[in-house]
Amino acid sequence: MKARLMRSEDLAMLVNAIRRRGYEVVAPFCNKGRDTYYDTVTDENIGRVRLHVPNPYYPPKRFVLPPIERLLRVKRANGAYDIQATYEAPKRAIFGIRSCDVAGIYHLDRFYLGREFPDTYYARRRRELLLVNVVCTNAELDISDACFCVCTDTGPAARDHFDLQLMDLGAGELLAVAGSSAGEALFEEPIFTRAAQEHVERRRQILSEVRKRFKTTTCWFSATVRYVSQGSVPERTWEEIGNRCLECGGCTYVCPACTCFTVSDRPTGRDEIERVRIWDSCALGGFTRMAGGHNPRKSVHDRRNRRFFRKLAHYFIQRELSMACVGCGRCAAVCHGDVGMPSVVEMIRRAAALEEKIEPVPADGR
Amino acid sequence: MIAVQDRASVVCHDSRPMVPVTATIVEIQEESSNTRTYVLQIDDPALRSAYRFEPGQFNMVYVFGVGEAAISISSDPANNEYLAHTIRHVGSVTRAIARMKVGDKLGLRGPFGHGWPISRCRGRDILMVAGGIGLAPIRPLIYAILANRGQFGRVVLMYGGRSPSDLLYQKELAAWRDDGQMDLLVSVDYSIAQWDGPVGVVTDLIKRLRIRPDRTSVMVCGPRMMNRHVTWQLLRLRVAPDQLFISLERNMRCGVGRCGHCQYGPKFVCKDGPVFSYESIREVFGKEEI
Repeated sequence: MKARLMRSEDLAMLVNAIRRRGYEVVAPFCNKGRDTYYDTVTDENIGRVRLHVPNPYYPPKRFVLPPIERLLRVKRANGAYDIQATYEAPKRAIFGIRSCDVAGIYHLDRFYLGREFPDTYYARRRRELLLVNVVCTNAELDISDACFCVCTDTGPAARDHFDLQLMDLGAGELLAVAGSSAGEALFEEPIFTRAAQEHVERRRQILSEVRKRFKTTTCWFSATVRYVSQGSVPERTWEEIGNRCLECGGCTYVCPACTCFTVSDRPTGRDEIERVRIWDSCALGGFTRMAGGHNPRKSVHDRRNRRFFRKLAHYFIQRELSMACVGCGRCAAVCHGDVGMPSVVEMIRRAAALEEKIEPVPADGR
Repeated sequence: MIAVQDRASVVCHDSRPMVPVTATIVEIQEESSNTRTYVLQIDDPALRSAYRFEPGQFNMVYVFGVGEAAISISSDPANNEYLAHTIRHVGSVTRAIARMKVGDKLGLRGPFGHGWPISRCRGRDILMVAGGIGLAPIRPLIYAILANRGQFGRVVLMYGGRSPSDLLYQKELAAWRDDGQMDLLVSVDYSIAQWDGPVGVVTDLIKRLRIRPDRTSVMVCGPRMMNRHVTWQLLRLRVAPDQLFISLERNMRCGVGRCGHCQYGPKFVCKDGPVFSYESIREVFGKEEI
């Protein structure tokens, strides 16, 4: 991978360089306080683009998988139907996407493009997407109490799947690393200068320093993946988790790796309908309800069980080559019942470990 | 011979699995008080002749402006002109279909999923166990087996319905019984005066039969409880777990393993199923809520 150096005051020039290449640039903006949100960069707000902002509550997932996405339009005329698939694929760049969210988009890539029916809607959006990753180095602004990417091995610096990665080396210098040819093309801009071995060394130092600034570092997945895959999590642990779940679906809507959707029709005019897919949540009671009312997954703890199974069981890790959790900590921040991923991992690990201990040792000592 | 189609050629609109094609209702057959069979013809002649399905596969049937439902194909797979769906009117989509008449248009996506593994069952005895509307996905299998009757050993269909008037495909049941190509055992949960067959649950029929477990392949489709009891009973009779096939149903939205609704343990019913061997789902099959 090629690396270059740039001055942090040239950030707006970099954003403008991407815009000049025809991209709609979205970047996290900060309101007063800690509220941040992704918005399109315009000439008016470009001065407010910052390198260090708290990661927005809503993940940038919506730029590849919109909350409501039109799939097709249907027009009726003389009893016949005209069906037209509609695609929307704006040339877009996400500036300042965090490493966890890069991993989230890569996970979605694996899920939507990796198997027998590649999703054309997703593929078209994804093809036009440029990712400018920013490494979380500012412990006050970038890293929240709930962040646990050091546990999922997705951060604080993404290793791959970005087009360009920026990292603050302090002293007004940024180290830029190109992850793709599109990212490397940006090095033509005059704002970039050669990086020396010393800068790479400083990057390494800062990263090892930053890893110590994370508060949630005990979200140990490996054991939990084993317990969940083996089905050795005690049923009452799921019940405890279910009892604390308020069935709001918040965790799934803020998750950068959640993929479920429902498909629905909505009228757009006389004899005109459009078919849309809408984010859906496995936390909600009607998720698995079938025609006639039978629901094979009625109780809330079973629904929670299925969610964490889907995210952590090795069957799915094998298929998608990564856990469906990227350690962004949003579910932990959003959950009123404190059953976000880190707490669940903790609960499962404790309960299963306890269970393992009280199992009698076989007589032959094996 | 049933050619198991190359997966890529099966799906109409292969690269666009979310886009339906239109089909016209050419015939409506009354099956029971709330169940009808709709014979459909795909409007586009090129797609119609390219459309192939394996017995046990399903289509996403789309009522414009209402929505989609996953419904198994119940017609003869050798018939390239028409296909049929047997539909019980229980939900919003199927009730909208109940209001439709001959000549109306439906949308179709499919066929999706994996059907009954007929090619793995050649030379073996076939036991089919169906309950209620569960006969619909089994009917294409019967057609396929009867078309190649010599390739199979003994063929038995056990079918259970609520009452004699709830039994599907009554004319065909009578014809299958009469032509002696397969054994037919039909029971009903409760009866009326004209019924002279057995009364009870379909699992009782298994006791009436001496099967050869080492050479029997079993195909099961029915309500959840029936599936379960038939499976347990046949496993006790030493039928091999990898020769016991069960067709499952779930709420589905996409049909291609994306929407997440039909997740069944580590599988998706729509694309890994709907027909599973017991072997492949034994860890989750007996669970109460999954």
